[in-house]
Amino acid sequence: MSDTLAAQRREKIGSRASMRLRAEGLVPAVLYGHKEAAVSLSLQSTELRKSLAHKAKVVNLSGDASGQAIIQALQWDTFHRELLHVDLLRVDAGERVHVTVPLETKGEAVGAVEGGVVTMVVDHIEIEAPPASIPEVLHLDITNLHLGDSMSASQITDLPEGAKLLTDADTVLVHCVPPAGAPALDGPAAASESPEVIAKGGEEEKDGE
Amino acid sequence: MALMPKRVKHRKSQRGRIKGNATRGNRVIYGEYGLQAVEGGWISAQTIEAGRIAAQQYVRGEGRLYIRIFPSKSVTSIPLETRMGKGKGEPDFWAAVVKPGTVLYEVAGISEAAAKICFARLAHKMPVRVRLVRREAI
Repeated sequence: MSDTLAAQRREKIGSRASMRLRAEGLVPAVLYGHKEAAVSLSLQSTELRKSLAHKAKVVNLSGDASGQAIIQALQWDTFHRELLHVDLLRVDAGERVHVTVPLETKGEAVGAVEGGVVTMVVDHIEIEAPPASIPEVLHLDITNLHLGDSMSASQITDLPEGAKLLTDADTVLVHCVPPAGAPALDGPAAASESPEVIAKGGEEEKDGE
Repeated sequence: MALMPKRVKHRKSQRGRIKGNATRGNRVIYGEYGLQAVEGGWISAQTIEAGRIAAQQYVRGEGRLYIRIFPSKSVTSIPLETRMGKGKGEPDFWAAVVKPGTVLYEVAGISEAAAKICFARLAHKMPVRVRLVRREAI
């Protein structure tokens, strides 16, 4: 599903102008790709957040920009509350694009019942697909994951038609390991009373007074 | 035993100022839930250890705790009833410098409800205000 975002061309660029835009409820954006000139745009924050809420990857642009674009990068503030900037990449319906898709687990692992901890090693994977068939999220069925086992990228089953996995097929995505608990802090650093001081210029510097 | 560096270039450091927000170490990377500092401050090695012990019981059986900060700053102090002057004091404790937004701890392998309880207990030990954050998809 692709949403339509109304884009306005941005004449004033720079951090001060961007800050003023954000105060008005707009988000600064840039549209590039297809060997055309990059265009500075501004998007409505509320519309954009609605699209991001359902993890939309492809959007249709209207207003001062047209065509389809992929949300290539998002910049958030430190606390992940305010959207600072969006990168949009021009795409055509017929072309194949490289995108990063979030990964979610499905089901309850057998290993968790056996006393293991199911940990997601990688939470997103890269695929190549036509814009129309980019999934919002990919799922990995972990119901048969036993303690000590792992699942790799090749075991993703809901890859859409025509999509190609770019992440290495052997990449471990999820594993089920015995619980590690809290890290023990009684290493060599903790055993010593005070840290060793690195001498600046060898023996001479040490004694030199 | 509390954390401290193995080797240092200088035994004593200047106090410094905590300016701005954390631009690194401000996302949950290893676990599913994290404890993020909302304000800046120094967190001593003893406090980091106290937090680890407080969280330990909630992750012992099933989960995993990650400590994302390290006390690399030495803090000096002058002994009591000492006249002013005569140079800088001796190192007293080690502290991690925390900017607003820094993720202090992370947990993996436990439910959100358990993570909330774990971090609520851990938050009481912290000298800075904190909040629970989830791992965000890119």
